[in-house]
Formats: sequence, C-alpha cells, structure tokens
Amino acid sequence: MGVQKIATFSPSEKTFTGGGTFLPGEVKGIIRINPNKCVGCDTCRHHCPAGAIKGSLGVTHHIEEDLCLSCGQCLVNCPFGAIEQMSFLDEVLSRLKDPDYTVVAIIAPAVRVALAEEFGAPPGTLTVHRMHAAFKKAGFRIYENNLAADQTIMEEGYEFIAKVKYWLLGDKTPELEKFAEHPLPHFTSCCPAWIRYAELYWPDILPHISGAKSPQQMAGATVKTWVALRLWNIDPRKIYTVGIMPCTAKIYEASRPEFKSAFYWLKEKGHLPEDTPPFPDVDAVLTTRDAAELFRCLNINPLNVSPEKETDITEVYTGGATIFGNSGGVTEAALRTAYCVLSGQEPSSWNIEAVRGHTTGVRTAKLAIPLKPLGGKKANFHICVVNGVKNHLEPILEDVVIGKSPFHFIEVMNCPGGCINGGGQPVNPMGTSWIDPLLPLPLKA
Amino acid sequence: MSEKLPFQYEEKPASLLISRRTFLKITGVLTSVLAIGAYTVTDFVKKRNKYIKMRQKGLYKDDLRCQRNNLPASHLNPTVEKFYRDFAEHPLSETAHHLLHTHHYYVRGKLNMKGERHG
Amino acid sequence: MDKVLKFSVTEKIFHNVNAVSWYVLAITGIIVYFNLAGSETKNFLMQIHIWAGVVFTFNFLAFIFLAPHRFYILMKNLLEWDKDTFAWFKNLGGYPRRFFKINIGPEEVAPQGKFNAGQKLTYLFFIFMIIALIVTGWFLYFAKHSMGKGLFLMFFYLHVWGSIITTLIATFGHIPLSIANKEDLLAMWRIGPGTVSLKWAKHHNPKWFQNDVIMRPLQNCRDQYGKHNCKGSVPIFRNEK
Ligand code: HEM
Ligand code: SF4
Ligand code: SF4
Ligand code: SF4
Repeated sequence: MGVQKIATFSPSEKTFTGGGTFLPGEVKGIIRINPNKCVGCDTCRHHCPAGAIKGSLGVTHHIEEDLCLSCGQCLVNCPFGAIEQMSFLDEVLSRLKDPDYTVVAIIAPAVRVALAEEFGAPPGTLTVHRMHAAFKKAGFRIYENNLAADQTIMEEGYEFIAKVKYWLLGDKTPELEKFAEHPLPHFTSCCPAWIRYAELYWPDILPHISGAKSPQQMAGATVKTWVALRLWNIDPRKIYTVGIMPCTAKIYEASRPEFKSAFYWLKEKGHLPEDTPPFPDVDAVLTTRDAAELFRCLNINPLNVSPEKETDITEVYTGGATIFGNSGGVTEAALRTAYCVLSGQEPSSWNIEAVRGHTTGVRTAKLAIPLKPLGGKKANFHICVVNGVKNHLEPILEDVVIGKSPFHFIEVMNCPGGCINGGGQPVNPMGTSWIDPLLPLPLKA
Repeated sequence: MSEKLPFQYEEKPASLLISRRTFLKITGVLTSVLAIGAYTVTDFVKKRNKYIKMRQKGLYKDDLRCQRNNLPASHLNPTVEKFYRDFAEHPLSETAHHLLHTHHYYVRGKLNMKGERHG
Repeated sequence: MDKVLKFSVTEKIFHNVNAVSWYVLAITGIIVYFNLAGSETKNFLMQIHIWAGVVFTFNFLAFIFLAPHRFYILMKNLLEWDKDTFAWFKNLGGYPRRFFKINIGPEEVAPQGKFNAGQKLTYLFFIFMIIALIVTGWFLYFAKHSMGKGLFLMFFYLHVWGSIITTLIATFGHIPLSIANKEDLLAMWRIGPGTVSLKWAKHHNPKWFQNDVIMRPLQNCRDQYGKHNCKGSVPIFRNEK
C-alpha cells in the first residue's frame, strides 16, 4: 500500500518563545502548511477541530498557531502532502550517540500497529517484540507507555471512583473533600489536543477533566524517579526520555511547563544537587513517522530484527492498556478495572463491545455494575465515548455546561478512530479520517 | 416549378428515428458508463476508513494476546503492583499526587484575548 | 432558398450556454490552478468558477431531462457507425488536403451522416467529459474531505487535466473546424433558425439527408389568418435520390 511522504522541519528560535495562547517554553507551530505545495483544495479546513485553518477554495491556506491544537489531523488528511511536521529527530539521534545518557523510549500503544506500514506492511500489522528489539538495537532502553497506561487507569480509575463516592453515594469524608471542585461528568485527560481544545474554547469544562496525567507524562515522571533510583540505579539527570507517539500534540504536551514533576520531587527529596537546572519529565517526542525515519537512518528494519524473547519488567503491560490507542479503549480499560474494584469480582467477559468507538462518532452506553459496599446493589453508569472532536464533541459539552448531561464518564479523543489515526502516524495515501457520512452537505462551506 | 411550395426539411420525429433497438442500445451505453463510474466511486468510499479499522483490529488482537497471558486489566499488571508496593503506596497517594497528577489547566483565552471563541 | 433544419432550438441553447460557460470555467479554473493571480483575485475567480459550474450543470441536466428525445437523437447520431463512417478516416474528411495540402487517401470523401466520423469521436468525448467534469466538480466541492484521499486525487486530476485536454481539443480542433464550415457555424450560433441550405446538407451530410430528413410544406402550416399552426400539416416523405 505504501505511505505518503510527510516532510519535516526542525524547531527554530521562535518555537519556544511562547506568546499568544502559548506559555514560554511550549512548542508552537508544530504543524505548518507549505505554501508552495498547498493547492487550496480546502480539505484540511474541514478536518480541523479548532477552526484554526484559514483560507478559501483555490487559495493557499495557513494555520493560525494560536488557535491550533497541534493535533495533525489536517496533515493526515491533506491529499497533497502539503502539511509538514516539526521533528526533534536530530536531537534524539545526537543523544543516542552520547554515551553519558540513557535514552529511554516510551512507546505508545498505537505505534505497534502502524510502525510496520512505514516498512511496507499493511495497516494494522502488529509488532511488539520485534519493535522492542528494534528500539533496543537503536540504543534505547524501554519503558512501555502501555505500562504507564496501566498506571493511568489505576490513578484515573480511583479518581473516578472517588468522584462517584462523593457525588453519587454522598460520601463526604474529609479525604474526598477535594472532589467537591471536580463534579461529574468525569472527562478523560490523556489526549493533549482535547485538553488544549478545552483550555482554548471551553474553559467551563476544565473542572470536570481528570487530574490524572496522560500515560506519556506518567511514564516520564516514573522513569526519572522510581525506575532511575530503584530499578536501574542511574542518575536521573542522565536519563533522556523520548515519547514515541502516534501524535503531534504529544510534542506540545511534553513541553508544557508544569510537566517537570520528577525534577521537583527529586529536588524536594534531596536527590539532586542544589544547582541542577529544571528538566522536563519527557525530554523529546518522536512521532511514529519520526521513529521510522530514525530506524532508516540507523539501517534497522523493525520487520527483520529477531524478536525479543524476554520481557523486561518495564515492558509488561495489559490488554486494557494496549487498547488505549483505539477510540473507547481508555473507557474499556477503566471499566475493566473499575468493575473488579467496585464489585469485588471479575466480569464474565473482559471485552466491552458497547463502548468501542470503531468508526462511530459518538457511542453511549449504560452499564450496570454491582457495588460491593452496597451489598451487590447495581448502579447504572452512563458512559459516552467521543470519537473525534470535530463534529461530535460540541453538543455533548453544551449539555455539560448547562448541567443537563446524562453522563458520568466521557472519553474524548481528538482523532477519529483514536490515536491509531493520530497526526503522527504513517499517512495512508488512500483513506480519510472522515467517519461521518459522505454528505450531508457541510452547510458552513 | 413556378408553383413550388415553400417548405422546409427537418429531421423525422424521434419516434420514427429511434427504433426500439436503438433506444435500448443508447440506454445501455449510458447506464453502463454511469454504473461503472458509480461502482468505482462507492468502492473507494466504502474503503475510506479501512486503514483505521485495520489498525484498531491490530490493537484488539494485542489485547487478546495479553488476555491469554492473564493480563486483561490494569490492576493485574505485576509491574504496576510492584510500583505501588515499592514506591507509590497506593493510587492517589502523596507520591502519586506529585508525580502522576497534574495541577494545571490554563484558561488559554486569558493568556491573550486574540483567539475568538470558536463555535 | 430551401432550408434544412439541422439544429433545433433546444440543441442550440444547450450548445451555446455550454460553450460559453465552458470557457468561463476553463479560464477561471486555469488561472486558479496555475496560480496566475493573487489570492484575493483567486478567491473571486473561484466563486465565479463555482457559479459558472452551477449554470453548466443545470444546462446539461435541462437538455437531458427537458428534451430527452433530442438527446437520444444526438446520441444515435454519435453512436451509429457504418463502413462509410470508418472510411472517413482514410482521408480524414479531406481536411488535411484542403487546409494543409497534405495528400492522404482518396480524393472523394465517403458519404457521412449528420456528423462525420471525426465529429462523432470528438462529441462523444466532449459529452463524456461534460458528465465527468460535472460529477468530479461537485464531489470536489461537497465531499473533498469525506471521500478519501485516493479518490479525491483521482477526481482532482481527472477534473484538472481532463478539462485542460478537452479545452485544447475544443480550441484547436472543434472551433477552427466549425468556423471553416460556415453554414454549420451560422446554423448553430445565429439568433434564429438552426438551418443550413439544401445544397450544404446534401453535400456534407448526404446519408443523414437521405435517411433521416423529411419535407414539411410550410404553407399548410398557416391558418387562414396567416399564422403558424402546424397541427394539420402532413409530413411528406421524400424518396427521390
Ligand atoms: C465557443 C466555441 C464553440 C464553437 C464556435 C462551437 C461550434 C460548434 C458548431 C458549429 C457545431 C455544429 C457542428 C456540426 O455538427 O457541424 C458544434 C457542435 C457541438 N459542439 Fe461546439 N462549439 C464551441 C464550443 C464547444 C465546447 C466547449 C463544447 C464542449 C466541450 C462543444 C461541444 C459540442 C458538441 C457536443 C456538439 C454536437 C452537439 C449537437 O449537435 O447538438 N462545443 N459546435
Ligand atoms: S488540504 Fe493540503 S492542499 Fe488542500 S488546502 Fe489544505 S494544505 Fe492546501
Ligand atoms: S493541527 Fe489540528 S488544530 Fe492545528 S490546524 Fe491542523 S487540524 Fe487544526
Ligand atoms: S487522539 Fe491520540 S493521537 Fe490524536 S491528538 Fe489525542 S492523543 Fe494525540
């Protein structure tokens, strides 16, 4: 099938200056339209969830950085490959060569079903052990982002359960007090494009969003603390963490100034000399395409390396975690764990078809979970899975703002289909992210 | 010849020009051209999200592989158990609060007022 | 004096609206695609392109649905190929000899129907392209984002290069040849009846004249007040050679 070639460019001086809707240090302008290649077909504008693309039919389009979420959906859907991505590949390559540093790959779930496309395999080809071996061959150590996704489920799941206790079961014990400011419905927080969308356009929703970090940020903070100190015994300052992500918004997420929690924690606990300059939890992010380019630079074909036999402790992950990359996956994973915790028993089947997004814009489900503290009395949970911000999310947020939302738990993924169709994935030359009907005519056209 | 009537020549009416056979022939040519076109288009449109479905299927396959290895749900991950046992104690603990939770969502409209609300 | 009605009013309207909107579309489209203007102008030209596309589309649909019998007669004339039609290619209707003094094939042109073989090919291609451009054009406008990049690119290049090639054929083949055939040109474009002279029709379209044309006395068409009223007229079938 082949993939579309996507051009990249390196960050510049202006990238980190902040300003507009960006804080200093945050990467801006990750996605840009090459005016020499754009024919003004207007496809990208229809895919942008944020209305950040300006231009009319026949005219060269451009992106308003301040409005842009860096989600890369425009890039994935430009038929002419005219949209380009900022890449930190050079920086990562030079760190790999530096023997002082331990470079850690944090590999997102969606990467394992797309990386092979860059090497000629059909979409969906699953590479796990081969992919791990390839990253090790390239000089990385691995902390599975899927493992971090399991951590996310623990933190976010318990957070959701606490909210349910406070808001639904009327448990106002002091340690739940802080959830008074975080009403239901509970929104997932692992998609940085969705977070930025809410921050830009729906600030009223912010208190509803989970306080749990995304798996990538949990991984970064964990690697530079627990893994460095207790498992690997290396100096956290000499660890260079690289998110291997299906996502261009993750590049931006990693640069958000608040994500230096490992540094502050280490400092507080006295693990760092006084004069250490702050360092981020995740040092760099490569998209799946960048990772493929890295392998090509190093002459590694992940399809041809012999797979790993042993699984390191930092590579262990569960089924719940790996489906994070699919729309509905976070919800399903959370429900699997929540069911066990709340009911004290295992469900008859782990697969919860009702919340899988597939190519449906919005999925809703009502699930009855028996509650052990209430003697097995069943509670109904209303779940909503938003499969792509564009076209699907607004009516749901409107309901939340006016207090009419029927839901308890709402998953939002910016990219239709989930992260497997993220802005950093290999670009399929035939397809489209559009999962809605061909027509009705776009009335705003 | 002087008495020649003014007249005009014109095509016979369609009913005489177009026999049943001709009608079917023309209709046949037109419909086959349109049908081939329509088939190609529907075929392409049907496959437009195929790569998304294939990748999703890939992850569900990985899920089943994990389920077979007795790793269906996050709380059963031995590394996660170790993480809490050795280090973070329990979900929402003090350490987890510092390392695994965020305390910053910004109202970005207030960083600058330029961005109009999109709607 | 005697006239043969070659193009009915519906055909003339269809053809001429089609030709004018075609060139509006071609010129605006080419300027936008090849970036020959600033973005303000391109935006404006694109608006014209879309509205001309509306006219172009409805003109074609109106021809097909309001005058299906004329459309079928046209298609019959284009789709019927006999051995004389093929024989036309031996000397390409004598045009190379007439214009460029290139002697190919026999002197005599094989007798043709309403359209000669070259016209048949060209017009079939034109009609195919008209349909293709209408379909691709509206898909590109309304479903660009939803039909998938592969199909989009196929449609896009079909639209752009198909229209350019057709415009070249029209501009350097169809139009010069139609100007060279003065009576046909006048029949098609004059404001008034689409008629050619008897001599012209017998010379250029002998088979058509022989097989498909009937004679209708105009006198019978006039009632006692001298007004046209053809209801009572009886077609007279010709059988002379
Ligand atoms: C503006 C310049 C044009 C001129 C002066 C012109 C002239 C003519 C003339 C004189 C005829 C009659 C030829 C005959 O049967 O002897 C004709 C027929 C035809 N032309 Fe054009 N034409 C023009 C543009 C076009 C364009 C742009 C198209 C479409 C792409 C087109 C499509 C056709 C078709 C399909 C016929 C046969 C239609 C019928 O007999 O009803 N023409 N044209
Ligand atoms: S989709 Fe690509 S070519 Fe089309 S307007 Fe957008 S950037 Fe330009
Ligand atoms: S990256 Fe996302 S938000 Fe930014 S312009 Fe592209 S589609 Fe819009
Ligand atoms: S859905 Fe996934 S790939 Fe898309 S922006 Fe969100 S996190 Fe990134």
